[in-house]
Amino acid sequence: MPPAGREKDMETIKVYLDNMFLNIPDTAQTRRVKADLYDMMEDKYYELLKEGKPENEAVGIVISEFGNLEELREELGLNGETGGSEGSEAFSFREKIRMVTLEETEDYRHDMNRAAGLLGLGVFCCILSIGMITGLAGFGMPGLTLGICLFFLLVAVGVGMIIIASGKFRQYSDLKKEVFALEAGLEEYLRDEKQAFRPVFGGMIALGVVLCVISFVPLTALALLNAPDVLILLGAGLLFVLVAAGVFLFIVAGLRMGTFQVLLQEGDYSRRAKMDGPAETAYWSAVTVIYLVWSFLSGSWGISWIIWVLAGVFHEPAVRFLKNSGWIKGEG
Amino acid sequence: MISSDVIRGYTDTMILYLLMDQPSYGYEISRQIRKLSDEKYVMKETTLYSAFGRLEKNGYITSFYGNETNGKRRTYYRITEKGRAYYREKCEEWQVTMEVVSKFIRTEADAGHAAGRKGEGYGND
Repeated sequence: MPPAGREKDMETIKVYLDNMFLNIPDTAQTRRVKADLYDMMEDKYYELLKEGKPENEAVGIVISEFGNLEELREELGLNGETGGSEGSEAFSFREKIRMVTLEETEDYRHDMNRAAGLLGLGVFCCILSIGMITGLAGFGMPGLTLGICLFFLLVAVGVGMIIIASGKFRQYSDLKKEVFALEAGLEEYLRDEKQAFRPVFGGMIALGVVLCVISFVPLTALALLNAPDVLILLGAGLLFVLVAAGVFLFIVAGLRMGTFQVLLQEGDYSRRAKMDGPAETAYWSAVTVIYLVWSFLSGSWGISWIIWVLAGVFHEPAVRFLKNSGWIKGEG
Repeated sequence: MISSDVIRGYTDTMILYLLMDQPSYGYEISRQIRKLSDEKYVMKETTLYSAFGRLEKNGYITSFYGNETNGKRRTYYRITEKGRAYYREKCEEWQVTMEVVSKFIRTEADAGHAAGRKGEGYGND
């Protein structure tokens, strides 16, 4: 049993305790209670190890048997200051922490991967719809008619898919907002899975960028070669197909990576960030809206995909800004 | 699972019982409670902590630092004379409580009997 694992477990306990005390005013009194509780939990953890419990099980027991700070109202000095019954409303205590099982995480990942694919396809269809009009415009009236029909069909299908996918995302919003603990061993498993996904993620993003960059090539080449209009328009149509495929890859890769962050409670889904509310959702919704509006209004599909890349780069500062600015309030 | 409402009034009693023979500390006490209750009752950390605070404030126990364990001093608790008196008081109270409450507990076997008695009391109109 390496001491590194124990240090990590104590860190887990500390983070748990921090979360429990998040809504509680920071006074000398509450700090003392917290330190006492930490000592008791640490003691319990090491005693459990001495009894032969594995480390992850010991940390699970310590956390699941913590109890409820409601019981320590008096020790925390929360009665005197606020006075009587009002005091009981002033602080919301967290109930026992939720335990997430392997079955739940697998269901979640399965559903999220499907929803990611669906959202990606939805956006893909929307972008492709423009390509249909442009690409088929060179074939006279019948081509244009077909293009317009396909445009409406694809937009309808695409928007439908986006709506279904957002419904799926909402279904699991509790995992994004609630602080939870993973069953014993589950965290290691998910970390391995995430590690295995990392190269796939990198490949998908790289391929997406390549597709977006080369999307101009057929059109430019055809224009330089003084090709007939039909071919140039087809080239323009192809541009949308390539961009659509690239954006599809960005979305699927990003969302699938996101499921790991949600389950491992990292980054924007860290236990601390969760207390701050749904800035994350707001951010990505805004990015999607900006992307679609900008692209449709200006018609600059050849370049607007850059928003996804920029959104990724400015993700963290932007979300932090949204949180700090107070525009996005935590729910509840 | 035991209703926490009922047991709440007796957490102090359980802790004092475990301190009767020798001083002890947080984890040891919660371990003993779990063991003696055949795992039917697990005392949460916060319950234990609030009980220690209450008992100490009332002068039923005193705390002191024990030997170094895991590089840290551990807080031990020792029962006082006042604590022993309080424990005996709570034991008597429990006897009475049990007698009273058990009068109102009916099992399947004496269900018919209790119903008959009710009929007697209120007459047949």
